[in-house]
Amino acid sequence: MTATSQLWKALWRPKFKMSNQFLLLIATATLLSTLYVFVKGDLTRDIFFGMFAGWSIFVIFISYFVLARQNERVNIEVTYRLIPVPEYKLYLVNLGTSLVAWLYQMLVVFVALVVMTSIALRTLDWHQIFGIDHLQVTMTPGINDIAAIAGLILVMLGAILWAWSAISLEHLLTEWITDYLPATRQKAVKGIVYIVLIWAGIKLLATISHQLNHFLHFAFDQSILPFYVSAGYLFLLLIITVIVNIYLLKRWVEAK
Amino acid sequence: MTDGLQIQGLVYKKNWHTILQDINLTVAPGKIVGLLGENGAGKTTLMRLIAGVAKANQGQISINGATTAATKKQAVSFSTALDGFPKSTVLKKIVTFYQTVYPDFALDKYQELAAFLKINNQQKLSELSKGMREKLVIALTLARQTQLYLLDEPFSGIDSMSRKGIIQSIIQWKAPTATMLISDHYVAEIASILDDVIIIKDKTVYTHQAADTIRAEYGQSIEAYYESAYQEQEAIDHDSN
Repeated sequence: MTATSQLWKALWRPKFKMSNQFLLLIATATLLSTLYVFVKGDLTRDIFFGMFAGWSIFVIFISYFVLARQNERVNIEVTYRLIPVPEYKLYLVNLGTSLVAWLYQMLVVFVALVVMTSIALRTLDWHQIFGIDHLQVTMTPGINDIAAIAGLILVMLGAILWAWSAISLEHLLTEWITDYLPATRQKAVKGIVYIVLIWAGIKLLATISHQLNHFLHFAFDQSILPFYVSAGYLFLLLIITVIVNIYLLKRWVEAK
Repeated sequence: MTDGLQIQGLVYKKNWHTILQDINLTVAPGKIVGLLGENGAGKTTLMRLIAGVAKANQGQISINGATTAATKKQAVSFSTALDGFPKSTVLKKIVTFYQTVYPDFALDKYQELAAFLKINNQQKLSELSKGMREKLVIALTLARQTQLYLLDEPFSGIDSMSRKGIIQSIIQWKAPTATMLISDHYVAEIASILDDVIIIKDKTVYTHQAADTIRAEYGQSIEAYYESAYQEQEAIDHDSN
């Protein structure tokens, strides 16, 4: 049987390579855009920072969906499904490597932004920009701020993971259902099944979210608890979706 | 190791069609078995079911006693089309992938096979011809030290000279206790290495015979025996019309 560490290594490598390609894309796009602005003669000192931030948000957003595609490839392709591990391990390691790859991109961009900001704080002429001698950053977070940030991070993690597992659920359910439908016009049938499942999923989620919002509004007004309740809700949804996905992989959905 | 491959009451249906019906098979360890049948007979499906990448509606498959999906996958080396890798993948990366996920992958054996089949590991997957790609699949599949090898039409696209060379060398690449199932249309060429022949027809196992029995008792070559199995059916169909 394949050790978990080996499985992690095998699934991580292509995602790490992909992440580095995305980071290179951010750097290249930032440089080219800045060069374009420079040639046009509109270059200001903070333009590079703005370009980098803009391209980072766009590329990291795209990379989320590219990683989702890679997740589905691992779930379905025979190359990966032949790996001698139980389905739950393949699924969880796949999800884990995608999360780490995406967080890695975020971290690199964050570090770059921090470095750029610190350089900007030292070199920019604040008096010229804002009419002040220097920018004072006063941030002494209290325990409530830290708890709120931690809650927000949990909500973000829950949302990232749940969205990936929801895409997998949609994909696996479609593959499973179409196996039990006639072989003719499979593409069209698949398209219809996709639309019906997306509609049903959105409807269900909207109903649950509405109830949750209603509850949060009355129960925890003006506190940081809604962050944690929302995170708990997302992780509960995630656990349910993951269990269904693993069951589908184990019992019903075949490799391509 | 007396179990080998055992299949009981296997049924497989997809898209409202029955592909395989009531498959029962026992293949002793160490045999090289030809899995024969016309296009669409269900040979690939049967191999996919044995490898654990397709889901049977009924029945059980065990490989040397292994019945769970993960343990069966460990016991099986299945030749796949390598579609999971992007076309730009360099071959040495694919070899590294196999080395990482299959603890039984023998790099020295792969290198030996790669040298014999003239595989250049610096090439990209997209640069390979159909025949070279098949050679790579053969090398990767046989480099694993498993109990059961499933070779699904491994010689399609490979030139006649290379094909004959590979077929004659297969015996030396297989461990004596390992079983090998080969499905192929070049029946006459693989006949000389086969111990058993299984013919899939009418969604089930039409016959499972030892190659020597076919030659001695029926006085036929494997190819002639296989063709007669289908001619019989054609004659019945013709008479009934």
